[in-house]
Amino acid sequence: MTLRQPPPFAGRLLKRLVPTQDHDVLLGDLSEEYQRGRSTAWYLLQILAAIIVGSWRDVRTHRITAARAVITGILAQMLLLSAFSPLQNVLTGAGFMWGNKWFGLPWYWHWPYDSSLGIVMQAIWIAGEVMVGWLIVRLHRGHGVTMVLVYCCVIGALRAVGLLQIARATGSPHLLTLLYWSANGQIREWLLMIAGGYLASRPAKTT
Amino acid sequence: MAGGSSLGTTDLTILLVLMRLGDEAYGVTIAREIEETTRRPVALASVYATLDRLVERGFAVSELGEPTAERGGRAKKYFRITGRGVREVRAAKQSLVKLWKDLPQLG
Repeated sequence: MTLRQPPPFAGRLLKRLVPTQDHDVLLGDLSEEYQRGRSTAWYLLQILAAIIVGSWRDVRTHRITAARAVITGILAQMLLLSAFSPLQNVLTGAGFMWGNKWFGLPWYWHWPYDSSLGIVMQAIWIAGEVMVGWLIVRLHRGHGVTMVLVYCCVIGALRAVGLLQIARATGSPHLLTLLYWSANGQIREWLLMIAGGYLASRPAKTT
Repeated sequence: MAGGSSLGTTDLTILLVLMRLGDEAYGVTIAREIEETTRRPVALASVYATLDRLVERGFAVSELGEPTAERGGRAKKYFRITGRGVREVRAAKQSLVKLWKDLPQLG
C-alpha cells in the first residue's frame, strides 16, 4: 500500500512556531487520518488549530513571560517611532536635531530622488516592524512565535479600544470605515511582525 | 457545576467518550466519536489540550503504543479514565439530572 505523504512543511512549521510542546502524537494522528482520505486542506486547518491551541496553552502557563514580551514589543515600537522622524530628516538631506542642537548634513548626503523617498520610508517602516517581531521572539526564543502573537493581540485590542473612544468622542458616523482602514494597516503590521518572529525562531529539528 | 463536580462541558464529553471507547481511546477515535455525536468538526489539538488537562487533574491516564508506518513512525497515545474520573462523571450526572428534571420546555 502506497502511503500518502502529508505536507512536510506543515509539521515542521508547527514545531517551529510552538516549540514548547511535543507534537509527535498529534502529528501521528493527523498522518493517520490523512492516510484514510482526509484532504490536504483539512490537514492544514488542523495544523493551524494546533498552532493556535498550542500558543494559547503556552501563554497560560507562562503569563509573566507573555507580559514581558508585550513590554518588549511596546518598547521596541516606541524606539521605532522615535527613530522614524530623525531618519526621515536625514534622508531628506536636511539634517537632524540632537537635543537642542541642529546638525546640518553636507550636500553630497542629500537624497537625490524625491519621488522615491516615500518608497524608502515605507521600506524602513516595514523593516522596523519585522525587527520588532524579530526582537520579541529572539528574547523569548524558547516559545517560538507565541509571544509575538500575544503582542499582536494586545496591540490590536488596545487600538480597537482607542478607535472606539475616538469615534465616540467625535460622534463619528463612519466608525465602520474607520475600523476597516485601521484593520488593513493593523493586519499588515501583524504579518510583518510574525514574519520577523519566524526569522528569529529556531528551525525545528528534523526527525 | 453544582453537586460537587468540577467538570466543564468539554471535560465531561471527553471523559464520557473515554468510558465508551475503553481500550481503543486515542486522539483519532476520540475525535471521531465526538464528531459523530455532536455533528461538528473537532480540532485534534483541542482534544489533546483537554486530555492533558484531565491527566494533570488525575481523571485520566495515558500510555504510549507502538509506532506505525501509517503514522509516520510515531506512536499512538492511549487514554483511560481513572476511578477518580468515574466519580467526577457520576457527580456531574447527578447535577445535570437535578437541573434537567421537570423542565416543561424539554418535555
